[in-house]
Amino acid sequence: MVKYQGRAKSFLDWGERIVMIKQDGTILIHQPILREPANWQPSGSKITFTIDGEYLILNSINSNPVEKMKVYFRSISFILVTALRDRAKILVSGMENDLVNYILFNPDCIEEGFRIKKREKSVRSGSIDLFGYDKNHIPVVIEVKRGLANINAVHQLRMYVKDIKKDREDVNVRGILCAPRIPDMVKNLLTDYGLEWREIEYPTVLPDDHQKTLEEFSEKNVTTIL
Amino acid sequence: MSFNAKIKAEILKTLIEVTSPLVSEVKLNIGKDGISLRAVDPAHVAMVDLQLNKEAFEEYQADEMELGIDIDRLNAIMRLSSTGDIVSLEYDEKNNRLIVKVGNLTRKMALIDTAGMPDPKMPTLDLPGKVILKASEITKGVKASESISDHLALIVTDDAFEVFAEGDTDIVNLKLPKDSLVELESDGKYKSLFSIDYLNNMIKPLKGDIPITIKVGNDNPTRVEFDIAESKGHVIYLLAPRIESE
Repeated sequence: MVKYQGRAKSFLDWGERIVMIKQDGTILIHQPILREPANWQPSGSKITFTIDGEYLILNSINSNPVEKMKVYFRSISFILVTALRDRAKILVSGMENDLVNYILFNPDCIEEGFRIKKREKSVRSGSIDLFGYDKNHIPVVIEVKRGLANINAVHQLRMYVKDIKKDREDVNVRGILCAPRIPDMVKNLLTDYGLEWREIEYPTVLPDDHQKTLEEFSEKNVTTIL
Repeated sequence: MSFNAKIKAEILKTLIEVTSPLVSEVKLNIGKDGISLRAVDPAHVAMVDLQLNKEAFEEYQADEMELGIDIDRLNAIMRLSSTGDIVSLEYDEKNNRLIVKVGNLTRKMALIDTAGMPDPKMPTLDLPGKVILKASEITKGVKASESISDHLALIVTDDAFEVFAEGDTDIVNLKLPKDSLVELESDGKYKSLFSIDYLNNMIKPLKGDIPITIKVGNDNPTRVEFDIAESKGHVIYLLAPRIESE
């Protein structure tokens, strides 16, 4: 049985659960199905145990925001206690930033002669992912989406192009939406607004921190010579 | 400026085989006495340095110049050649093209501007373990390791050369004692780990029992050297190590 009071209030009646208490105070209470825990407490929560009659109670208090959770145990079938050693950090590839970087280093994937001037350029309606010029020196606004591009991305791009046109009093500004996949509906809308798109597949490569580079050894040689 | 040469197809294919796993574009340095190239892959893990003396060519006449070659395009035409074919290379200065002729087939290949292409420096390395062995031996070691792991160790001791790979369940070990090697020079044990993907690319152009020189240090790059074109050409390959996982 779990009672919780904090940002909301909850009550979870008796049932068979897995309760996980992590080394940093994080608590996860899992029911037999679904990925998400039914109840949880964040990292840094303070934990105490008390006994109330026939129940063992796990008390967890988080200070900011104040959240109190009480987990009542009436029988425990299995306890595992272990100290895990793990200094690895998860590396994730395939984020929006990875695609922005890919275009940054391979501007030819937009078109030949395309030059990138600025990344994260601030304009009135937000921040342009990539701003540059084509080979005819016409300003180009690039909006990047990591997965399937949607209608919102079109409106975002349209606003940015508008902002640039206003700022430069230049009617000739191109807008290009870049994503690995763009549905036809979105392409049609882009065409209607006089905008363009590029479907860009980019390699999702995880950095390999065990592999050294030759440069590391060149540097070492330079320092030994000096 | 002129460059006119005729070369056996298989020698030009070796040049492609050595270079293409690392880069898609390369700068050929054309000189009076032959051609050379040096390339580093985008991850800066491997470097290849290739020299081809003019004696490796059937005919050779050239001024000093640089040619920016798109390897994929050159490969596209070379794939259509057979062993024994003679390939003719001619620089067309007016159109900035390389005219490649294989038999009756001609490709006028656009050249790439060499201005932005890097001139990689070769790091000087202190690699105290040195062996010379038959190419087929190292190929055997890499191929055996490939099925169980993505990296292997090259180990030189004072009396043997070893290739060692450890997978989740299996272990591969190729041990060549001193008397089965062409040459061994080492005052102790030297060991470094290398990516099998890169080694695989490196051993691809190795044919039969040509002698290859491997130098190893401790957690240092390896330097692999071998002759091509019946000793009228030479390849140096540098590969950065992997570090032992904890």
